[in-house]
Amino acid sequence: MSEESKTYAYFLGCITPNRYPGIESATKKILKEFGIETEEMIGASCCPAPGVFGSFDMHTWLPVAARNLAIAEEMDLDIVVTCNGCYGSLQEADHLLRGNPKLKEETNKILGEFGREFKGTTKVNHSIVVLHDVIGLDRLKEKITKPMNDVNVAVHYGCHFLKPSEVRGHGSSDDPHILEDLMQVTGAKTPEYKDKLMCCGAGGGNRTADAVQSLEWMRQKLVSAIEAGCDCMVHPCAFCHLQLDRGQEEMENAYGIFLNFPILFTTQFIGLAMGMSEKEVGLDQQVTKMPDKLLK
Amino acid sequence: MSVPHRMIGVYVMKTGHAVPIGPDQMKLREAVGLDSQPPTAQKHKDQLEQVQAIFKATHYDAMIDFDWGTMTLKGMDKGGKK
Repeated sequence: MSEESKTYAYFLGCITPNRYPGIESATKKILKEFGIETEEMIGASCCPAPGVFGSFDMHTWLPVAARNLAIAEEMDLDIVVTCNGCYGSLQEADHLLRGNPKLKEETNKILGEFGREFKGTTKVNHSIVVLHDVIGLDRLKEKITKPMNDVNVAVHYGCHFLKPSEVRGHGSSDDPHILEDLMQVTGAKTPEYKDKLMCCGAGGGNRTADAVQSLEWMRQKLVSAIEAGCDCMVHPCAFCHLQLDRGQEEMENAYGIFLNFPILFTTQFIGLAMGMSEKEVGLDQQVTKMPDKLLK
Repeated sequence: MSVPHRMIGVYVMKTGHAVPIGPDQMKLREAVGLDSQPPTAQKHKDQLEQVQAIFKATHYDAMIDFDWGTMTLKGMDKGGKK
């Protein structure tokens, strides 16, 4: 199959389709622009979340993830995701099951009760890796019609995109460059800021368990980006998006502080640079409002 | 596990999703040109039953004190629990 006719099984997860569908629409539109199709995974569930499920009960987390992998295997397609949590759960479950016959046997015993089986025949891809490695920077650049030359972007990777680095395969988790590469294609600059590699504050079940601490982590990260002169934050994770966008409203409600620091998923930002409207990529549905320099 | 963490389990056992969709979010999807409801486990009862079967098989339901009759944590209908 040529790259131009590649089709992925789009694993939606929870937050992308159910809270920020603009991430889904922007991703589908950009991939389609480059001849890449996405197919729905009928009946897919929560990945399930690595913090709230994986940390507490691996023997439930694993078969739920394996069932999702099995759906893509039945479609004979590789998976693409738009959430680091989904990326983490699905890729790590796949890694564990491929390397551990006993776990695979136990998992397939559960899945077999309703006629499914994990075989290990799909590959879990992150959408920004598809942009960077499958489409490629040169082809992306050809489609940029609204360069973001005067925009300073704070890139935020999120934890599960980078770690564990030996499973992710994106090189050093201390010095990543995929997001910087993608932003530079649009003409945007990516200033360094103190807390660039810090967690958004939500992960590991923290957002659910301790809202005060979770919001303080987020505040520190956003202030660090603002102090570095950044105009917005761009990231690859729907769960980080929920935390960083909706979290700013929660911080306003709790402490009366509203930073209004614009938060964009990577494909939303690139979609704007490719000439898509704010409405098309769902940025008009968010808590944080986009400045004119992003919408020109 | 804390009640908030267990409630995430409740959502997944009820809908297949830690963050389920509701009527307001369906309108957001339509506004960006998507179908109002994604074809995930929440939309397909037979698929959701597979997810629920996993939680029963691993006894996750017992671990968080889930009540299949009320579809929430045991005791939540009597003023909640800690």
